[in-house]
Amino acid sequence: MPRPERKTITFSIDGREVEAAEGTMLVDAAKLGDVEIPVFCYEPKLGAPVGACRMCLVEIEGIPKLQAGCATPVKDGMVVHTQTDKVREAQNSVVEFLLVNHPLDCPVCDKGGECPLQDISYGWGRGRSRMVEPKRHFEKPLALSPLIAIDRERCILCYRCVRFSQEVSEDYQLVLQERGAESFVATFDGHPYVAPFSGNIIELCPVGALTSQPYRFRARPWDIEQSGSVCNLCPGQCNVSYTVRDDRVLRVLGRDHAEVDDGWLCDRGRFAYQAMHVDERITSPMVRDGGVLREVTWERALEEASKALGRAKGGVGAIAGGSTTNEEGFLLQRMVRDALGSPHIDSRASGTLPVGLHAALSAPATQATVPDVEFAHAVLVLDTELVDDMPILDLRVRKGVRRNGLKLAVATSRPSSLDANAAAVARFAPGAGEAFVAALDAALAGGEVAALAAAAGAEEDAVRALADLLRGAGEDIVIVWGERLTHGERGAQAAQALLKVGSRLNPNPHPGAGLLEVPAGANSRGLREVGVLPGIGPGLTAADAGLDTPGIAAAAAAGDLPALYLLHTDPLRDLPDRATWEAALERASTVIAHGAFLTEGLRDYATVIFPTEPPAAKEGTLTHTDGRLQRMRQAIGHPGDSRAEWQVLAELSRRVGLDQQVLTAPMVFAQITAAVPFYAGITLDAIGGTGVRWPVTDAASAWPAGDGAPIALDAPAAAASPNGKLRVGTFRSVWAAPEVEASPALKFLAPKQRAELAPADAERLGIGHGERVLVGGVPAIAHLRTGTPEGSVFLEEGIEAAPAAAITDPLAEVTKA
Amino acid sequence: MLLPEDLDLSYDFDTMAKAGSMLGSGAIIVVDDTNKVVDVALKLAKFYKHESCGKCSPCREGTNWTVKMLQRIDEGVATPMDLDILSSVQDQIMGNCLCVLGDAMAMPLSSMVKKFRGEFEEHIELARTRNPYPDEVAA
Ligand code: SF4
Ligand code: SF4
Ligand code: FES
Repeated sequence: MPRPERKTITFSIDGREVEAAEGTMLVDAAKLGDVEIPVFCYEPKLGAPVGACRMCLVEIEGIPKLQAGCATPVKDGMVVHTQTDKVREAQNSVVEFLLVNHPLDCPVCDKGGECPLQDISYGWGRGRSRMVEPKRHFEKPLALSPLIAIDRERCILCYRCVRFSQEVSEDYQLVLQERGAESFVATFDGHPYVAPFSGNIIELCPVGALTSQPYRFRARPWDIEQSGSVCNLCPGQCNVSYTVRDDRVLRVLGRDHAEVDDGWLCDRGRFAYQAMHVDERITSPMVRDGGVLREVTWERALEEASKALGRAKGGVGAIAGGSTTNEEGFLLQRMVRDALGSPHIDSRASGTLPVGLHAALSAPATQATVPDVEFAHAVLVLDTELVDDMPILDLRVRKGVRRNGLKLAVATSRPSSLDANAAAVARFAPGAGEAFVAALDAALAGGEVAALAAAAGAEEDAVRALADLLRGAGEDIVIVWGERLTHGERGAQAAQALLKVGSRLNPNPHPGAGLLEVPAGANSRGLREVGVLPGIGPGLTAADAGLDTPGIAAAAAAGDLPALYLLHTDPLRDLPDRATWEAALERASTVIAHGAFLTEGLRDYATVIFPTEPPAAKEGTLTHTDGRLQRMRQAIGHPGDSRAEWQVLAELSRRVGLDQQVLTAPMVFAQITAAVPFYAGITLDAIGGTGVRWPVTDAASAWPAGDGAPIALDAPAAAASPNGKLRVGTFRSVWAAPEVEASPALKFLAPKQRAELAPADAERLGIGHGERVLVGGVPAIAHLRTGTPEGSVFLEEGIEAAPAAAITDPLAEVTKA
Repeated sequence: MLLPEDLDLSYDFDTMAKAGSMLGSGAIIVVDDTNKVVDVALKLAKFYKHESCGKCSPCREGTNWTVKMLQRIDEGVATPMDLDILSSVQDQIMGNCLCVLGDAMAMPLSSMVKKFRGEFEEHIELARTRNPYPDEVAA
């Protein structure tokens, strides 16, 4: 449903005339007149107000009883008072009631010093206690989960945490047990509250009832500083604030950005900060010496690396991982291209797209934004599992469906956690995205669907139902599509099919509708725009043709590329086709890597390792998938011997013969805006704390014209027919990340390889839930999941002990181990 | 709460409100003079505490606190000063809740304390003499 338009009205509060949008809740409207109305339960992020705590009572002329300011929409001509005796009496009363059962824990409570209950008691309470009876008692603290401690005595029963679980993350685990004064917060079944977004309730709780287990008793508000940055763990790029004490990050809080994260964080972004300070982290440069990696001086490591690169010259293949900043990517591509004369550089996992397709897929005119997802008439989630690939967007889709009447269509291979919210769901065979989109295109055009649906391994009726839903929903349709759709050899054809469906659903490009990519890496879009693609330079200009990622692997495995430069990526962890990569890493005489942890590719093959600085030590820009340039700001010093990586790249570049003339990170950014025409005129100051969406700046006109949608699509590749075997699909869980394994608090969530099977397939194969199986030789635990399409098996990517990337065939045999 | 002299009033919302009572659902509870007012108050408060859904704080905490205070009065761990707190708590509930359940306790309780203050005070004195530890609130 499109954003509602609201007219401006005038009302009076405490004698001030204030203008506000009609329908704004009084507590928010009051702020516009610099009047503060205290609240506990009101939190607009949670949806409609509940009016439970009664802290916000105000007097409105013409209404005899006091009204809850959080639940009263402001109207034209309303006369409101917040300073009368009656209001003050009510505020004093509510504070007193809330303290009836609240313990005097402040000296030992984590919330002390940053506690709304303290502040409001001080500001709006009577300042003395008349209650002499015993308060209620609970055993405390209890572990609500390994990440969250609950102290039920401190709870003021504001409902925030329960509403979050029920109405925002929709994990439906938290409830209020019992009733009245006996109420307490718990999970419905007494099991730990483990969910991808659980940590948000810590920040929501207005008292110290919910505290972070890893942060408990680590600091007091007067010991710490907050420092704003951006999370670089996934394409969500949530705005975060690091809590820093003595140069260590002790906590991560959200830094509400309505157009990026809506004020939430996922648990990976919230708790993986621990990985910044663990002993396993690489904090000094290393060189392989006599077969063993040893810590060495910077001089030695830079010398080794520059000599090896100098020897390899044109024979260098460079790959940048998704967390690489624009600055690092820009410096890397200049070094590789201009200093070493090698065109082989890529940031995509698999396969190239011609520049015209990149230009069309991200064209400003059809670029949907994150908030568009919430306000569209319909959203198609295509070939991506949001809770894993871009967790924060999952919440946005749920919000749209729940609060704005958004119609949701889901088309994926693997059952999606959004299925339950969708008005139409279609499944297709793993890897058959192209055929599926072609079938959808045919259904939208009223053409022949059956054959294409069969090629996609999809049900014709489901494709048609999806098409009907999208066609009939309204003019604002957003397609949220996963980058993996355009991976592989036929990625370009799949992209063309996607563009065609896109232009059918949005024949007249307009704001509020279009395409929104879920890229594979946090800064994939930025890396493409600053030129980290083979044959495509900064600003999508033409560059010398070079090998893409699979090409680099094959060439290195064949002995044609003596040097590999791996910036923030371990191919054995992150990339498909493990066998080729193993051969490539083995064969290359030089493997230079920037890494934070000694994952196996680095441990076994790297010849030089430069430490990856922790995200909180990083300075640089990222480009969000909807085109928003955001800044990562340095919050802590570089631990150990580590250095800023832009500096390392600049120094290395100088040593191999190209002085890039940069002395600071902002100087690199200035070079980027000079080289990328559609970033022209954007300054770091303008980006500031909230970012700048370049597609809405004047410079956007410099975006190159994209390939139009084709008239006719190629016949798509058909999904392999299982023939006794099963089709292999893979996915990357939100928890499959080295920083999860390295964070003591999150470690328990690090996934083990499991094979998701349809119960019918499992029965046919005689496999039971929880049994050990081999999928094409990869060991896994069988996980029977209803909804999994028959004929397919799904494995998790990024698991070191049982790598799904070892399987290269589209089909595999599943046997008992 | 109405006294015998109020029995002649007409049974409508306005008159009842003026007399310091509340028509509510229209039910009438008749209490004869063999009952102790403290017992009646406690029973009433316990009922509302049990019925309170717990959503809004004045009702949830107000009914709960009221029960605790009346129990103290009953057990002889109170002073006449507590009656002032008791009625002030009723005033704090009234009109501040999400629904009228809290008001439905606060109205009669507050008029009970007003109209039977003497009996309350007498009860407090008597109960204190029976209690060996009249100044210790049980934890
Ligand atoms: S635990 Fe915190 S957020 Fe949840 S109801 Fe209690 S006070 Fe509110
Ligand atoms: S959703 Fe992504 S960007 Fe946001 S906190 Fe989680 S990992 Fe970080
Ligand atoms: S903030 Fe309005 S009732 Fe809680």
